[in-house]
Amino acid sequence: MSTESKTPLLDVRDLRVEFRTPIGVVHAVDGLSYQLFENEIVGIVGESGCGKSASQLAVMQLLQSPPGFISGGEVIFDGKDLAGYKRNSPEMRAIRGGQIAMIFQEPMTSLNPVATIGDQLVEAVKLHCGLGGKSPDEVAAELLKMVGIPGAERRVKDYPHQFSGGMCQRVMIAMGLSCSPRILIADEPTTALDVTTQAQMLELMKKLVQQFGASLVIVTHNLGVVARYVQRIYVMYAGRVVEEGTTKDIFGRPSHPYTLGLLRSVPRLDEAQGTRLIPIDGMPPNLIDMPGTCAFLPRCPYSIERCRTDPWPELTSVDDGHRIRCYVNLEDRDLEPALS
Amino acid sequence: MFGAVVIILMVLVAIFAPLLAPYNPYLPDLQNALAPPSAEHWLGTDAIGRDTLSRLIYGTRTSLVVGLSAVAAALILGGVLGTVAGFLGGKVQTVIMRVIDTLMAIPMLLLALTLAAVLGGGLKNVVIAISISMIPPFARLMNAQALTIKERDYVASLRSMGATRWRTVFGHVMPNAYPAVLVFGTMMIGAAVLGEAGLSYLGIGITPPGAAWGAMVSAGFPYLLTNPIMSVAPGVCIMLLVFAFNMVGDGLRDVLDPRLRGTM
Repeated sequence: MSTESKTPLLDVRDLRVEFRTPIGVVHAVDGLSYQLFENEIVGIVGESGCGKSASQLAVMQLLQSPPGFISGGEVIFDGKDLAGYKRNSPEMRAIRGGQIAMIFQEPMTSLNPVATIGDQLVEAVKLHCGLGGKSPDEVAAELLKMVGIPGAERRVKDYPHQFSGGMCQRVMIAMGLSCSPRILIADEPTTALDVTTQAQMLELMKKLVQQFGASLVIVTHNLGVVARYVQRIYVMYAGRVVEEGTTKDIFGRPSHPYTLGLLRSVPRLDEAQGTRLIPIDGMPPNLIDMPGTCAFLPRCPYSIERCRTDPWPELTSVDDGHRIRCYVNLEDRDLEPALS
Repeated sequence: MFGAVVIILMVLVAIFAPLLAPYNPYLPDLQNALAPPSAEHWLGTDAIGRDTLSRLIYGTRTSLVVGLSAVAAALILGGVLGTVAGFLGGKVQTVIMRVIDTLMAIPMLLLALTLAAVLGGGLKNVVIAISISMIPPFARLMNAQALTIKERDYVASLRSMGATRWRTVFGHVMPNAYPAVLVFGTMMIGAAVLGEAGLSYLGIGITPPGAAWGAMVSAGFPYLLTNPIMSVAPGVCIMLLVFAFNMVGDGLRDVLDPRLRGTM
């Protein structure tokens, strides 16, 4: 990959997050590494509980603590290790919203119901970059216009309940980008929206992120959603990356059994009618007592003897920039029978 | 509705007390002592000849001032303690809330009584005593509110935008607790009025010659059989005002949160 030679904007190395609960320590993120380059859109994909959201909250140091703790690893942003800062330190607060902004899953509940849209929009602006001599309402109206809300001047005085879900998400996007952050992290930004709005939202985010020269991380469980918008994808399972590569790699030559399973469980338009979707058997592992072996082993249709005896494999290159965490050779796989 | 009308009337009476009162409420008139209701003294006079109606009118001021200021003080102090404890959690919460729980184990009136006895009488000390005794319930209420509100998505989203903890607590968590606080606060005004009346009745509240309904009930007690109006009139006033605040509190709750109707 061409970006491989550059220094990444965000370099997460061997990040570990644990939740210390009364019934045991949950290793939500277990040695996650990923990179984000300038002007890049990256997708982090995985099912519920695989640690994708926890890892992003850890990057921002927003984990509810206790029970959540960053137990290891580095988050290198702009040459500095964010994991080394105290969670409420001024340095970390300046990063949040100013350098790295985050958009959450539930737009309707992510806005304070008793404050006006305008007040909430300018809050971050006041905090990080100042109003630049304009009145708060002007700044808020500009931001609303930027995300395509009609009648922006009037609507800054509205309260969140007067906005629809899609509009609230637009407000959240405006808020996230209000201080021109270098990175925008969108944690399941479209899950709570209906399908037509999802596409609009992703288009809008892509357009604005490019306009601002920022990088975007889209966290989602829906491979279909990210396919059109992201350049590279990290597929997570049980707190680790099991496959990483460009969007073309992941969709064209999915190589990890889990990625294959994910792709086969998504409906496709070009499939013949009557084709059944193939679900992945079994359940995700319990993250409290993880086996030393591959976490996907119990659900894997291709497992070989080595999978049962050796520890979880390291990421190995399949191709330039395309890496998987699996012992099984691609050529040895008898794809179709194993899946039917 | 009824409650609101009573409260508005009482507030007007308190404001315009000097205009409304037919006599000086503090001036004894020994020749007219213990007079029954008449055209000159609508509700009669007390043991040293002071006009009962005038004293009732001035007593409205005492009750409202004590009720409102004690609740305001308790709300601010208790609210801040409870919210900060709830929002920060951990050891801070444990320490603050255990102290509050300890205070809560003592009945409110008993605590106020002890404090008033220690501090001595007088309007200021009564307000202090009642407000301290009301801190625990407000702290508990705001603690519970903070615990639920801090889990809401917009708090996470604020933090993700770099807002400080203080900004989050005072700018966003506390304003979101207003429905519960408004309802509870209104009802607590009634309780504070009753508390003041209780303290004054027992003689450790408003000191003579200050006009207070509780003290008037107590002063009329020896003459209950011969001149019952002396005790009954202030008693009715206390009841009306407390009842009015409770009704308004109930009404506010129904307006602010229809889901809670009839559950509290």
